[in-house]
Amino acid sequence: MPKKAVVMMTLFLLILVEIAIAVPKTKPPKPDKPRKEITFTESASLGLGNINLGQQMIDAGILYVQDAISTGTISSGDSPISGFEILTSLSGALDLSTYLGSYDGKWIIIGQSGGFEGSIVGEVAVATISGKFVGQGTGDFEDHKIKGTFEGSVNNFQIEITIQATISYTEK
Amino acid sequence: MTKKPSKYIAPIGLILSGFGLLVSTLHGFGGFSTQAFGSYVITDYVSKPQMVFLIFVGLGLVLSGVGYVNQVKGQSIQMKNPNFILLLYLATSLVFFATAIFGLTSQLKGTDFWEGTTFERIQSTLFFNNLSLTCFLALGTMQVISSIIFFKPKMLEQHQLSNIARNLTLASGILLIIKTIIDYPLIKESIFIFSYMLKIPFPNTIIGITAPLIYLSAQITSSTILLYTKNPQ
Repeated sequence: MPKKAVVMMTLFLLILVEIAIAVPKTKPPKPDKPRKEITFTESASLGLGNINLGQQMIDAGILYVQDAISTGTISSGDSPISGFEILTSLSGALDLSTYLGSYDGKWIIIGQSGGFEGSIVGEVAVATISGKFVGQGTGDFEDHKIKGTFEGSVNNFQIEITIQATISYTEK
Repeated sequence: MTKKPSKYIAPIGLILSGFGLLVSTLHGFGGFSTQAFGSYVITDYVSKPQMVFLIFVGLGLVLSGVGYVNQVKGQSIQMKNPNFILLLYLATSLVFFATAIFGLTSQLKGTDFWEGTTFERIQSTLFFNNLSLTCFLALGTMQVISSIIFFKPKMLEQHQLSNIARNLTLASGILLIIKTIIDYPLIKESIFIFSYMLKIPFPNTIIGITAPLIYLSAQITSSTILLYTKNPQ
């Protein structure tokens, strides 16, 4: 092999090695921005006239309710969802001999420029209700997540609930 | 030469509104369901035919009011202002027109031709529900007031069917008001559960069909009186 060719080959191999060293094998992971959390307690009322219990059927002592819908408002406090409108669509069953039942469904809370929507699951015992919910933000609350629990009662055809919730989000 | 007022406008209007309400109810308006006679079921079925027949109810009421005023004008010494009946009927017809137009133009939840349940439809459904109740309340109130003033003119008062028509009008008004009360959300569901516990038929279903039937009977009797009464000359 001519000497010139050997020198060229060596140079070429050196360049390859340089490139291999210069290109990192994996990118270092970006540090996660810390998620912030806001925990609060709110109350909401779902009133008579804003409830439609939809399709219902009693079979073998069990009351089945499908797509019961209701609207109401979250009271004006100082939480991120104060004053928002709340809408729910629920389906469930209630044992008429024990007045115990369960339900699940969807919910949405709407403010001026955004809100939250998600799912809900809960129980009914005589004239009290309880449950838990999860959801995610829309509009101004994009990337926000909410989860929480609630409990309430039915008095004079008015459903009053107390919500304990946590909103988590990444600070921009 | 004075133009002789038509005898037929008011009777046609009365009967049109009576049949309109009955047929709309049979199609499920006001939550009526024949299924509820056999089992404990509540439906909130909404369909286009219901809305079409609600428009007929509205049209019938407009014709009734206009025809009535034409017929009793000049004869109503006992009735200071027959136009009040016209205003009453027009106001009630507006509620029916509004409900029908809203029902036809809005997307409502869980029905045969408005498919699916989205949150956009929830508020429309609740509003439609309230409009339906307003229809029955307005019609009931109109009937109660009509039972007092409709038969005031002497030519109607002297008719042999006058008392029957007045009583039927009053009965239909009271039944329609009762229907509005017992169909109110949560009151309806409480009655539903109690009727199951007591093993009796669901009262709302029975009143739901009885009220339009009595209303139709009242309209037929009233239109008979208007048809077989001497026209003012």
